[in-house]
Amino acid sequence: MKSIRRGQHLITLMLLAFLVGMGILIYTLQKEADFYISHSSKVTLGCVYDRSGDVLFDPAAKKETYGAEHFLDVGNFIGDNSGQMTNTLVSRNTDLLTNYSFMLGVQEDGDAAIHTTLDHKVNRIVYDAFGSKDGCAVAYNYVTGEIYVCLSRPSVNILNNYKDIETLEEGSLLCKVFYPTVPGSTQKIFTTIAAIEAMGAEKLSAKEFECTGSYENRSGDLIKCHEESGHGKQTVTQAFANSCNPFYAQLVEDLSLPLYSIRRTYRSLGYKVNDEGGKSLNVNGIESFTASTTLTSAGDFETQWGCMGQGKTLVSPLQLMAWQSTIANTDGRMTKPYLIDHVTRVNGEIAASAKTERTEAMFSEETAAEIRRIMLENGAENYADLLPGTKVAVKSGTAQVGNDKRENSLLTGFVDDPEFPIAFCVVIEDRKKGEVTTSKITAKLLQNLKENLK
Amino acid sequence: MSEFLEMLASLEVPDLVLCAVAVIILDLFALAVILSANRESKLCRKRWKHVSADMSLCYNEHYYPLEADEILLGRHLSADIRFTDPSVSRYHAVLTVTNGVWSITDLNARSGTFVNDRRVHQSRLKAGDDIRLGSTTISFCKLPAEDAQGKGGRKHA
Amino acid sequence: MLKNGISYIGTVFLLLLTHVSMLGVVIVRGNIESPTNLLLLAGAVLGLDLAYIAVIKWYRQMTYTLDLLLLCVLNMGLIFQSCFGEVQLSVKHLITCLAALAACQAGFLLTRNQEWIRTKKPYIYAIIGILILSILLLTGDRSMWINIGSFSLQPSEFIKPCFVLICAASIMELHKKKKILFFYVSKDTLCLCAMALVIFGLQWWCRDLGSLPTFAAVFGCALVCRFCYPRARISKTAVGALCVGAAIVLAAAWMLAPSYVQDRLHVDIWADPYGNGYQQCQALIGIARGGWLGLGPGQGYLHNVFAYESDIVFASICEEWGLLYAFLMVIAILMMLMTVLMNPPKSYYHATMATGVVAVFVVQMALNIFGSCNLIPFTGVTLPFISQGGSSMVTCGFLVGMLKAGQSPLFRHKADKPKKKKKHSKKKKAAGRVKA
Repeated sequence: MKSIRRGQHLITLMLLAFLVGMGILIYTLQKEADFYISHSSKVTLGCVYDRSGDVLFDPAAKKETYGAEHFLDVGNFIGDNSGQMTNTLVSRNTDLLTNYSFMLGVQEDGDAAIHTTLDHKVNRIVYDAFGSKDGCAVAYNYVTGEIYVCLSRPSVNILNNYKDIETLEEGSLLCKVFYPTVPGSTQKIFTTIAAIEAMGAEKLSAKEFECTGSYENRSGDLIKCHEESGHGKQTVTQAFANSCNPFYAQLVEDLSLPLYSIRRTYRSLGYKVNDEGGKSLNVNGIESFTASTTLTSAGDFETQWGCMGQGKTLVSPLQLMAWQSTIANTDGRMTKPYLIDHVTRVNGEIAASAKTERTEAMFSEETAAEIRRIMLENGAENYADLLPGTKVAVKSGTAQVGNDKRENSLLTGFVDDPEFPIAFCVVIEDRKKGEVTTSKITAKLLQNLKENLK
Repeated sequence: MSEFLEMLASLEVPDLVLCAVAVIILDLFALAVILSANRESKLCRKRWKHVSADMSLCYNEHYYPLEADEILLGRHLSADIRFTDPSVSRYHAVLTVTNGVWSITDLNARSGTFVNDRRVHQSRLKAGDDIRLGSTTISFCKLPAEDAQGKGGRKHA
Repeated sequence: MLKNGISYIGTVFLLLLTHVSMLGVVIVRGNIESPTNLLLLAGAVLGLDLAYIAVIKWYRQMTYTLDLLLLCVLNMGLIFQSCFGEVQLSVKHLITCLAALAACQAGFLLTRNQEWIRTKKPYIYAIIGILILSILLLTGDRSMWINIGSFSLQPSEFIKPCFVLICAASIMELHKKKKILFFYVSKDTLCLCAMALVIFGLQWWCRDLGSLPTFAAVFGCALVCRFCYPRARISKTAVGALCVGAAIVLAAAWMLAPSYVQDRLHVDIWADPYGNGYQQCQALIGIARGGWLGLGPGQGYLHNVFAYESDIVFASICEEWGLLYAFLMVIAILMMLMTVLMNPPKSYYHATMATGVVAVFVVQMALNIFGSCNLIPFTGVTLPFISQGGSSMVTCGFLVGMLKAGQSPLFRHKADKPKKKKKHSKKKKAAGRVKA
């Protein structure tokens, strides 16, 4: 009697558990159906548009309709659904592009589309500005997070349908903005931040170190300066502008800047230091490399170079750019970059609109103000022609890569204008004297962007 | 909602009507089955009255219908009819039914099982018998008519 | 009017209408190559309906809802199975449906009398033994199939009802307990546990990891029913020991599971949609393609995927008939199990049996449906009543028969006295026939 009733309860329990499972199943199925169907060959995809409605991806694109090189500058960034590239906007967001809904099923001519924040016109101008050089450029609004420009050379023309895949240059199929690069002297921004965090702005500005062209460090290794005759005695502001290596080697050795505090600042920025920590960054599903470095001891040659952007230090241009927002916004909080402004579903309804996201503070507001001052001073002195009439904070860098003395040229910084809040990062690979400079490209980027965003 | 209306528009009419009809009919069938099962359940209860001779235990002027073919009497939590009297063993005795005839079997309880004041190990029961477990006395009797419907029914629900 | 005095006209009418409406959907939305195929299918479905209803008119049972539900679900399955790819009557499935209906009746007649079945326990053990031996000896290379010509049998399916039966039949023996080592145990409980261990070992050996959870669930339910049994007197030590034992076994199984099983537990099928997770990927894509209302019978693509008619049959149905209808089908199967709640059994034997049957069905359905939809690891068990496969259909029919036995039980004991009521004597004859 009682026991039979208990058996009945057991049956009820089993049936209920199963029904709950069915409920979960139905919920997951209709929620993830877009993702499932994106793996089907029976579904058509919608288009990707830039901020002014220009097409960045069209599954039915032909050379006749768009022109032979219409997609060249975004080939390895926006990408396509061919499966040749996996870390592109389209391949990471196929489920948003499918002309399908669980209610309506597969629709041949639906309105599914992704509207991005990219400015295709400026993107193309910057792409062409590289001339014959390889490299990458990325720029975004550090207040809202909208990416305006993002390109990587060499690129791939998706309209060729990979018939030329054998002859494509190395690196054509990935957008270098999201992949590791040696930061060179741009790393001095973050070492300076670490120094301000550790000893305070006043104490750091009071410090002076001598540069005689080279410096023999604690372990007896020679740290050379690019200025062979030396910079003489200089403060941090001067050394930052001069990008003086002996100054920074001595700063790293200085007792008031313990190595652990550098590690701590790096980690809070998102670096993976000595295989610990590391905050990944992704743009609407496009994965980015996580900055990493190895810092063993303050007197160590490799560690000192690590703090100056050589050694084992690697970052992605995306991160370099995004970190500018921590300084530009004067509160140490990073604005996360994004590319998708909004998505329309198969029936034309707007499904997802972008929201600005900001991280926790990576360093204090005082530090942000001080590094901002140093960078703006550098920009005013050396890069006044980037955007005439507007203050631009800048740090340049030259990074040695490989063993064959190839040098990459980097430029990162931000525009100090609430009407035009742009942070950027430009990399030219294997730049030789007399060729196009990063500042030329940056100037083109900023001036055209300002023109176009009006 | 707008999506739903659009779906209606995109389907051809007979398609939709048929899908809806098929779904509704299946639902109606399910409903009819529930109704039938309900009627069957009443029937089965009636039949059980035949099998169990519609007997009950009366204790403290409270009737306990016998709704299974094995009823445990005792102090244990799992007992079908539970007595709090400490002289009743945890597993005291069990009632079983065979063709409308109930019998009681003592489960080696310390205080013994008595039917009409006679200690028994196993004994048939007839209506009006008094069963004593330790110092608790219960009577074995027909279920009163109102209880058979009211209480018995409620116990099921 | 059937023999229990209740009118089922409305229900039967709606049952027929359900199948007619399904056939209507096939006519309008289906992929019909030739009208003959459709006529054959309609004839088979409606013919089976009418024939079975005519047959059960001759049977005296207390309840008929289970028969009607079984008929409804089987014919739904027949229509589903006949429509994959294109509309063509699946004769093989029709035959297995007939076998399932026969097995249902057999199961009902064999298990309704607990006194009788208790005397036949040695035979049940013997049948399980023979089935186990046949798996060991006749299936080659640690598989679970016996191939005879073009037919293949899965003996482990037949063990399921036997195991449920033995779990139920031995519950009454709990009071014959003796002290063995530290515990009071009855001989039958020991036999049952030994049998369960042998079956678990066998499943493990022939890598039939889909059936293992089913047996484990039945055994678990049997144990719970034993705890609930009024005379069980199971001590807290025993409960504790059992829990510890179960935990150890689970942990050991987790550690010892072959690597491919462990892989299945945490594999991302989408990483390689054409690799190991191909079937599930295709199943999910199929469900997505179908949406709420489906593409229409015979209009799907999943019939090109291996095991579309058995392991991922739920997805095939979703693709062609829509998630809504597939869900209603599942509800129809659950209704069968819910009749136990609406009409509770009156004896512990039948209650235990019902719990075991429900456990088998719920676990099988969960493994099949949730497995093919990637909620849990994919094991490749069949969906009761719907999947193609003779062994599984017959087993399901037999199990429903056991549920039915719990609704129309026979309380007829050895020491029968002639003073029985008239109504019972007829049933006695029916049971007598079975005995002979």
